[in-house]
Amino acid sequence: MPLTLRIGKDASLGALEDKILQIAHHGRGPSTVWLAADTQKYFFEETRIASLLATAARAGPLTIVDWSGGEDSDRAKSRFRTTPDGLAAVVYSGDLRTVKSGNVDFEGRDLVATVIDQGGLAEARPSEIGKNAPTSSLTICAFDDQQPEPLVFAGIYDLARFISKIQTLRRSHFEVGIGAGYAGRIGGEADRQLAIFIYELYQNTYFHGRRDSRHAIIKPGMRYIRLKRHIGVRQSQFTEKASGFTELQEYMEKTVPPKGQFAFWEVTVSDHGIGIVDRFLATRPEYRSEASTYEGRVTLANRIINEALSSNLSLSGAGYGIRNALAASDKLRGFTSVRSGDLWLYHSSVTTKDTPWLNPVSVSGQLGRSAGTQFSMLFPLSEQYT
Amino acid sequence: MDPIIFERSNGEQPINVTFVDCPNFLEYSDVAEQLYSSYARITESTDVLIVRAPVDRSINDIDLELDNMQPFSNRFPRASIHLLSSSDFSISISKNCNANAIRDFCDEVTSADFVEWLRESELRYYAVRSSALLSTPDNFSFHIPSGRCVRNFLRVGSIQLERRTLDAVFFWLLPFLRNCDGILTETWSISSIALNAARLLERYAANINVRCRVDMLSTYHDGSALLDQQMEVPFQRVCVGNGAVVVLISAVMTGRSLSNLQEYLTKLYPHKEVRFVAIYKLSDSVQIDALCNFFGYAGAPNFEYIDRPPLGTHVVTVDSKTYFPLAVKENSVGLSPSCSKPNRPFFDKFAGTKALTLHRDSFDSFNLLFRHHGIYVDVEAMLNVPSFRASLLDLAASLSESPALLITPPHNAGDLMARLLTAEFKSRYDKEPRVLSHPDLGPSLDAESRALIRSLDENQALVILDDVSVTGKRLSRYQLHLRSQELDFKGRIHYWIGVARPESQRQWADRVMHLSYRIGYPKPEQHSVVSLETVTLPDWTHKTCPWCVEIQHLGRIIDEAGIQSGTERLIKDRLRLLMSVHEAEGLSNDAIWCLSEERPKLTPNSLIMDDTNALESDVISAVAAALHHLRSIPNTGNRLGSAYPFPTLVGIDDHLGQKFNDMLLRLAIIRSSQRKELTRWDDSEEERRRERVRELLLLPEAVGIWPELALNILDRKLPPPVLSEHEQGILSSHPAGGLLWWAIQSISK
Repeated sequence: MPLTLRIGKDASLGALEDKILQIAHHGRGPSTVWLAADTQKYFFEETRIASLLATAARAGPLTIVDWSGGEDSDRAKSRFRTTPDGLAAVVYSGDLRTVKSGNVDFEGRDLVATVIDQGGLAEARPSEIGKNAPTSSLTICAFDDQQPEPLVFAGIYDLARFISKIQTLRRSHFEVGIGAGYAGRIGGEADRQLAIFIYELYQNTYFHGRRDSRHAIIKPGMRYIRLKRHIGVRQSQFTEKASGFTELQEYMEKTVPPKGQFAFWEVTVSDHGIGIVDRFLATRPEYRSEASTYEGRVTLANRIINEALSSNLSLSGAGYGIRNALAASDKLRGFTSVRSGDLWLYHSSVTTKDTPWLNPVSVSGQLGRSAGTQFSMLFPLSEQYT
Repeated sequence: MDPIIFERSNGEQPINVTFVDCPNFLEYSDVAEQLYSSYARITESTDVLIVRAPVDRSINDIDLELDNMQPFSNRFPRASIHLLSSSDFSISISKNCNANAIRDFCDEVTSADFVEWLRESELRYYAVRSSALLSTPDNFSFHIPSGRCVRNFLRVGSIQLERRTLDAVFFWLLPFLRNCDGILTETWSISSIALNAARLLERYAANINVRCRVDMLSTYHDGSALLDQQMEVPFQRVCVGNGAVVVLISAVMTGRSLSNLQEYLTKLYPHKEVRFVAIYKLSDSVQIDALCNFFGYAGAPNFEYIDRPPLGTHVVTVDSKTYFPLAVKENSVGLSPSCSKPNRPFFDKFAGTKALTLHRDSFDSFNLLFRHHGIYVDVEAMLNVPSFRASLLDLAASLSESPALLITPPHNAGDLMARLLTAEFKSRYDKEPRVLSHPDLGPSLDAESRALIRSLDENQALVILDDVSVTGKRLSRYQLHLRSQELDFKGRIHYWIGVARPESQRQWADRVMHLSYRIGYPKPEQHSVVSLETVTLPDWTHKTCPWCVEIQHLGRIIDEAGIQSGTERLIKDRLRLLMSVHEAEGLSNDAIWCLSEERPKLTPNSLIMDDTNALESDVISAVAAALHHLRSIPNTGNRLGSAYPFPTLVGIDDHLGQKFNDMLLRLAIIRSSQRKELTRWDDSEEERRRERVRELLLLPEAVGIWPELALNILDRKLPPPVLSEHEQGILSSHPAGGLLWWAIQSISK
């Protein structure tokens, strides 16, 4: 029996995790995913949906039904053109259709090629569309093996250029309005450490996040760096956006004032590979016994990203960036979420400050094994918090 | 904060030393991160990491300082890590602060000999890397301010390219600066070094509130009375305090100027403590403290005077005030049968086999990126050539029995070669060697393999099999670990290499000598090094690969506004190719950016190779090899790339004229040449090139290569031509012309 999953507008992270677990329990076989439009209600939601779609596609043929309800194919096309979960639907599904009007037909050039040419997805919030309106998110995509490096990174082969590029993109897209002057306020050092970490994470997606346990490139594959801005005017808006993620809700309660406009910027680095621990074990099987339990995998994941445990035998010293990144995140009053394989970890500048450690997120029951690794960080953009 | 990589030979086994500064505006953690993030590949073989503390700090509690160096141990977990610092004007190197280092080089590194070696290596590095070392071709000589003629001249002022050079000289000068409150330089051309030293000295010795005055002489002191008078005032100015005065000499050869100075200054201030220090000492004949001896080592330039320049020698005068040569003599060379001859057999043998591709990454057997190659030599493809395959199998016959172990780096070509040889050993000796795949036999080697190697005795042999060797460093890593206490291998090593592709034959000969060395054994029982093929090629990394440079140019263009959509599409299509092909098959017949279906091809009787079906990658590689040969020949006036004031450049007719009918050859020459090898010093010659470019791009058959010409203009290898409005119109009507016009305008700005 094909598996059918319905992802509605109000699918919280918890609900999505349930669906990922369903895929795991269902095993190999075809699946159909009904995908609502406007799936941006919760933090990290689109990222998690993209990973869910990759997970389903790895299990068997995937059909996606655009669940926006009407026959408005333009709206459907737009949805798939502008969000990472929409793009993941295009990349991973063999059959992409609307409820009533059949297959979504992307006329002219292939959508992925268009995204490649554009240098990624720049998505404007409808209410903000207008002259000089900032975009609410920017997703820089790489596609394996069609385009392993985004064109926007053309000629960026070293850290200094990467830092400059990321900071320029953030400045031009997010440091306006409530975020104006952000770079100046946070201080160069923490900003730099963070950019170094994004660089390392992105490099890791390239070196490891697209390869299977036999070191072959997983095709099709999608990796991305996503910069996104979240704006609200009440604390409750943010705690609601964190539903299904207790530690994040606690962070929001302690970070966002009860009233008044507040904003965060999010950076997510994502791949749809086999996850940090499994990829490491593919090259270093001698650590396999340490990964036999959930706690063991949590510890090993922390060691991989915290110590000089490298899956590259000829290049040691990798992985230490996380220590500096978490320190920088604490300094910027940030929150970090890592979803990788069957692990979900977090670090909060409110509750786990000054520990170079990622803690397991409290979830009720078991987590399903999802495709890849999603490293997401949130930082307050608002002036009083930077 | 670029690290400097040195190789120190301690008699038998070279060790890799990475030397890096921690400037006073960075923390150790920042330096560790930068080193790791930006230089991981070039520093991965580091045995010893030397970190120089901020030079303006006197460090009294070295243990406290070492505690702060933990980030280096995190990022370089295998290296022996040491701090180079000073305390109260004394320079020292700390013990190793990395408990997990594979080998602790403490005894060697903390010796006075090592400090001296490091000081001299660093200062020589600055001299060689900058344009400070001026050399003449055979038929030229310099007439230098001392009135003599020389073939090599060191203009020390030219090392002052960046702050870290100035800081380095200050650091090494520290032992001479104790109680010093004045610095006089013998030439204004090193004034930045002196001014920086005075500034840092005031910070370094802030507790004693020293003020250090600086002055300088304006011209070479030849002993004339007039110059004595001119020298008096500056000297008086630095002698105001009660402390010692350091007289800083840029370079000393015979000491003539030095003795004039010493004599005069002693007479002027007989009771003043005056310390004479040379930055560079060029011969052993003078007694003076010097920071760097620029003589007495292999490859040292010859600074000896020429008593009588041979008849016909052209003499170029070096100015006594600026120390710059007063004339530039430009020379041209071109491709000829003689420069393609050394490598031609290789290209004739492998043309058309895809043995050579361009802009391609190499991976290990885990498919992890190893490095990028501008020119990639593919031994897997070469093994399809019967004669090459036979040569590999013949190696098995060179041994009297199957070796105990066959070691390969973990990559597919190594695996393939190992499989072929294992089968051959089996058929010849009815015994298969065990195959071990490992990058360096370092700490990640498993216990079983370690025990196996340890169990081998001195009468047994092992084979190290590598597909391609560029510098031979990987082979040296194997050797280092085989000799280590952990493995303690005493038997014989046979290094079998598919293709040795060094940048120079001399470099390769040195490596072979080191690899062959086996203590206590006669020559026939030394280790052996065999390469099936040897070809001299430039080693283009991702920073110098012409196609990586192309990506940078194109990335910059699409970042800017104002590109027509047709042109933008053209650029993005090319970018998509360049940004994906490097991790797959590399470039072969698409290396030249050409839009015509009829791509430029090689015609018969080419001086580069016979095969008219050769791929573009073959032709470009062969041209690159020929040009590289021209860069490495003795400097008789025809060595390509010889620097100022005797630049030897690629002839205009070679790359923009009719010397070669084949457009492919001309374009390959431009792709393979460096900008400085094409650009003329003589303005009228550069104008001639500009006109040639104009004529070329207006040829009807050139439309297809307009993008390639645009790139060469953007890369400043070709000068932007001046076009009429009509000609601009022709360009603007075509997407590729739009790119070309954009390039011309961009550079002309």
